[in-house]
Amino acid sequence: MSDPALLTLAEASAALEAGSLTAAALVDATLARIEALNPSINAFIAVEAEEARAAAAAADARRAAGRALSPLDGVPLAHKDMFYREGRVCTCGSALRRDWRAPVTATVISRLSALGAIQLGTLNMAEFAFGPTGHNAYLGAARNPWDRDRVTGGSSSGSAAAVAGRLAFAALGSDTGGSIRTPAHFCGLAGMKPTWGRVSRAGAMPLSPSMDTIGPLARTVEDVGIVLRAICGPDAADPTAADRPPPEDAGDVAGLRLGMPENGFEATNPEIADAVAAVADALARLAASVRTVRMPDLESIGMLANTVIGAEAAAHHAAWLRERPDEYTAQVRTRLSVGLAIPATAYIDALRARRPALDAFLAGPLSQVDALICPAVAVPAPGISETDVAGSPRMAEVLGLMTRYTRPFSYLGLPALSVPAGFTTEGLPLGVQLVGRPFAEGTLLRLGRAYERQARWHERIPPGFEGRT
Amino acid sequence: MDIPAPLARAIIEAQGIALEARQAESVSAALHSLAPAQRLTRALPFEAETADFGMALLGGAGR
Repeated sequence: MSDPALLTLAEASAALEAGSLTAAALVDATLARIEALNPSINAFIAVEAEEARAAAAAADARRAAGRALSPLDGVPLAHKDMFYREGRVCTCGSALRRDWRAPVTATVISRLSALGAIQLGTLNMAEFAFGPTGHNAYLGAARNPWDRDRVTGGSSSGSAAAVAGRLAFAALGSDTGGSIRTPAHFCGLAGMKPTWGRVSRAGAMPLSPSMDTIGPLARTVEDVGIVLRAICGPDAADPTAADRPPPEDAGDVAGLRLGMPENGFEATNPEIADAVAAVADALARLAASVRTVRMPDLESIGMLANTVIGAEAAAHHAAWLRERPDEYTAQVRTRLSVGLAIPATAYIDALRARRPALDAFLAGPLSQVDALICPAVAVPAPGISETDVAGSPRMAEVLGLMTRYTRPFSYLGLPALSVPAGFTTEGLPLGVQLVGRPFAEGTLLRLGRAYERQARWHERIPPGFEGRT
Repeated sequence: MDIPAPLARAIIEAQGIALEARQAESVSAALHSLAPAQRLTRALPFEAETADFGMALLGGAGR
């Protein structure tokens, strides 16, 4: 049979349920791919092979006894190295935390473990999740499986590379200003930034608590929904985690109304603009209606996001910047320093503007539609060398291009889903972004699933990653 | 916000954190790029002041 690692998460789960595959086979297949393919993409920074094999044996025993814990029982996953596990090293992508052992286990990890999901290891990421490209001068850059000279996007760089390379069935990432959606777009994956408050952040490395979210990257929207439902929900350890029903993705898109922004996305590469229009047309044929909507000043909203993120990240890191500055890479040290010079009044203004900005957005662009459809990123994946700006004065400009279309929605706290939408003439993946009302992840999942069932872009595999290893 | 590099460097060094002159140029450029945010906050009506500072943005909104 073909390599079981090439299945989607939903297909692998169904095969486990049907008894046509075992968790041991899935773990062996993914570990073989990690050994053969990871050196070319630098997605995994640690592999936990023996523990994964032991977990697979336990999962197979449960299933044989009719006691499978969930559809995720026995499915191999891997996560960005910022989700704590008590007593284990969690680098957060940094030299500074190379030997740091976490005092607690992240709620999202506990929830996946309780459902039987297997963790294959930990994944590369931008240093302290503070970079949108996938560069990491300490761990080395993660490389895009579709073109290894191109960036993966960040900060969930290893998550995207591992899932796109079929080295894991899904991965958790974090998204403060675009860190799930940007790598999903660059690597041809589905990725969900949930509503702020949908998923507990307890035990996850903080960057900017007013903006941080946790969500899945996977090959399909269907798989994103499976993982999101597993990790969401209230949590006593994170009072911001809302008590809302899990987002369901069943049902068609008949009657749903899509809004296409008529402004705010002028910097978009033409091939990406065409992809957005094509996805909207496809959804319209499936009985969703599409209309144009007028957007507010997204640049200003994005800079409010940067003000909040900059100030909060600097506050978190100030002590280390004072005491251990040489353990940061130049780019992250410089970017964190920006926040040290943001006036407190500007930070407070940026926070208190948030609710009125959200109210205006709900009463404006989202008042007549169920979701917006727009580009996730203005460009396809750029080269690793051309975006290696370290801490130069070009830093803000180059890095800002990566998150121009994601940060405004982070500031507004809205859910946003990046959906695979095709390829450029150079063969690079493209994504589109669906943005919904607070806690309307289910609407986005329905739209994304309806499109992917028709387009089936997720069936394409990066060159060199197709065969059984 | 326009904060010249030497001033940015002085602000940061006053917090006990060293910064090279070249990094201060980058910090100043990044601060300048935040200027559009003030277009919005300066346009806020005074009544927009709120105690929740965005932290209860959505969880209690019931939407």
